[in-house]
Amino acid sequence: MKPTSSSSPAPGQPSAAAGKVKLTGGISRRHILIGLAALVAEAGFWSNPLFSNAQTPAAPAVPPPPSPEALAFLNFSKRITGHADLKTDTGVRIEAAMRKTYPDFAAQSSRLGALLQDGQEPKALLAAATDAGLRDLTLAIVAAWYTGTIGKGKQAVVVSYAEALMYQPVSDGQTVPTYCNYGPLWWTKAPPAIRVSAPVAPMPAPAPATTGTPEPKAKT
Amino acid sequence: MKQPIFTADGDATADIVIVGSGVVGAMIADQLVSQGYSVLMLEAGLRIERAQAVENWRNMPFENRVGSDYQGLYPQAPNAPAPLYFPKNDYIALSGPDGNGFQQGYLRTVGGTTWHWAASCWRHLPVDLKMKSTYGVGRDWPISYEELEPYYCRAEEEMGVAGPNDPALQSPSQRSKPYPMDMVPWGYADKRFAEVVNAHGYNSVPIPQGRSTRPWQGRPTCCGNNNCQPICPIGAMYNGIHHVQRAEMKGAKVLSEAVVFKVDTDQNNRVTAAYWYDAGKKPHKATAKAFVFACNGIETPRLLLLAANAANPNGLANSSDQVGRNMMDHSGFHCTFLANEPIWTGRGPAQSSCLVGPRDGDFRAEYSSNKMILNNITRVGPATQQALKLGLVGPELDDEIRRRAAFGVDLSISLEPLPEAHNRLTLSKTRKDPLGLACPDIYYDVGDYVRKGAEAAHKQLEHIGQLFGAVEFNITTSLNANNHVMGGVIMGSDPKDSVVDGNCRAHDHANLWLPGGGAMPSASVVNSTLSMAALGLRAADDIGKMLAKG
Repeated sequence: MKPTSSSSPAPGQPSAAAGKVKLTGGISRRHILIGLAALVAEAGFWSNPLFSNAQTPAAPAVPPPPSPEALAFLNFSKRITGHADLKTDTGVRIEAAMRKTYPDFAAQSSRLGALLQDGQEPKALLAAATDAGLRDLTLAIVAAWYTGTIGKGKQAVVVSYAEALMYQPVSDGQTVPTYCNYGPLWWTKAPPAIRVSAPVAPMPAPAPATTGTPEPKAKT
Repeated sequence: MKQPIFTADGDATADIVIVGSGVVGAMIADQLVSQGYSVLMLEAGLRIERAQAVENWRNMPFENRVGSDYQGLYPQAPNAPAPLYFPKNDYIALSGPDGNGFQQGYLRTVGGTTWHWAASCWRHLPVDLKMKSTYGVGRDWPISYEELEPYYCRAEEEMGVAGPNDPALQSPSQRSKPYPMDMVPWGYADKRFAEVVNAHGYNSVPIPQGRSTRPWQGRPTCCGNNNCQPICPIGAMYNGIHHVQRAEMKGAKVLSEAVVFKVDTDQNNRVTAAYWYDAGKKPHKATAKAFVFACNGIETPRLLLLAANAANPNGLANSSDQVGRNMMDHSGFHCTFLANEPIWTGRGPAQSSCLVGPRDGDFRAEYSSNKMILNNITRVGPATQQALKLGLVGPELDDEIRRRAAFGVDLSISLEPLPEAHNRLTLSKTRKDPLGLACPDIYYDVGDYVRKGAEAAHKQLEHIGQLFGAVEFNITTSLNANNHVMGGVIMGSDPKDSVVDGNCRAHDHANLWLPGGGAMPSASVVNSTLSMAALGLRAADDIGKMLAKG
């Protein structure tokens, strides 16, 4: 597949492997940009094989400052996901993709921003959005951050891979596929403590996707 | 170093012309170029760069990745389409009761479909080669397990297979040599799953894998990127490209985007030349002493039918009318559930353990055997898809993803088909590829043998589910393909009802070999690649013997 232009890193931009992503080492692009001297103190950086070959970008392009709308979207995203450390440039990409995918996005996003209250839990914010008739859009925003993808089919836009929030809940026990974070034969170590309760009753979820069997989509 | 000779026009002469550059063709090329022969490989598809395939996969939408779109990341040559599913293309038209269960995902690329396999390197059981005489169903092979066994050893060596050296963990244990590397070590999930089910006879054993557990012939040790399918990012997993590169270093020449479409035969029905179109649709001629068609279980019979000529009006190698018949695959299904304890699949390679208890028994006179693989690709994607559908946000969403990923189980069940003449590949009368060559049509009906086998497997799975206190226990209702395409150029001792002999040499053409899955007269229930490679090595020996005679 030829990646869509919006999903490919521009020439000269760091690819996911070169530090755009936050992984178990707790490293962000900002760290890369600080410069090598400051990184010597970052034990996590050097211990993470993912970054052992990372190049310091020679002349990183400085992105334009995010728009007020994008910053408001980022703020809402942090509150609805409960993840305070979402990255600005990813938020900018998601906001831009959602504007293209959802015709009324600008107006609805502004309405979502108005629902924020101090100390509000994510599920309370979702309840408020539901009351305002904005539940589907809110869940689409959550899905964008978790899956790294906005939209479906040929219109789908990929905004992130390893940074997609879905990998974080198991980052202590699994690697993000394609990455080699823990070294040869690492999986023989014991898995981490489970920390969540066992499933006791079926939930109204559709049957899960299975691995290795393409789930062919209708001809479109 | 002897190499093919090209004219100014791009026509070629070599000792051996091999059509297809997958695991079988590439391994044969490496064998024969090592013996000092000139080898030309004609590959219809593109040459793929590993790193680009990894980037393409990361850049694919979530929907494609979670849906196992293992075809989509590999660009296709404009003149050599292969099946695509997101969305579907119409390269292959399927019909019959189980046509939808025969949606194969094979690659036409330099290196072939092992770019996106899981590297399972199983042997057939000795009895699998004697299905007719033992169980009264299917066909016997014209060669015995004992004759094939040395080639299994060689194939394991060539592919760098890591397998269990404890006979109690082998399936089968009839082996003359140890595995080149000991088994890929099990993680917690494989150990725990085996502990629970083996008390009930399901016999979970380590899957022999073409995957390095120590540095092996330029391959690094596996570091558990958990991405064997659709692309191993580091080359720890064996791919056909490894043999392509070895053969090239010794002087073999690989032409990509070279689509073979026509074959000349002489008065003795020996093949004298194969013709290919280059990327610009310009035809070229390749002359050789020996020819090998190893272009996948679908493309090989298709090419034989396309290459019909005056002396072979029903297609090359087809005096028996068996070319394209007896199509087989390990049609299968999946079973998913949430266990009552964390299993923690998703750590390490794509699959490392498999239940082989139901692999053999007297029941095979009545219905299909099965095997059940514990899938080990992370369940994070499916878990996320489900958790999002539940409308969760915040910590509840994170916890639900963790719960479903850690407690979730996905078993991939394979069933054993029988060779049936009516399961047939033919040439489309209406659909043509961009070169004007007919696309394949395939009729498929797994029959009652497989359907009864599926019922037996369902009962076993319900029992297994109980052992784990399964919640959200689900068995997929439709059969799925497993890309183990077999049977289309079936092997046999009688030229009247088979296409190739025990060396994969065409009965009709003394210098044409058709090794690979297509030649296999029985499917067993295990992945076909190691058997295909063993047959390829056996064919290479036969070719070497013929060439040595001059």
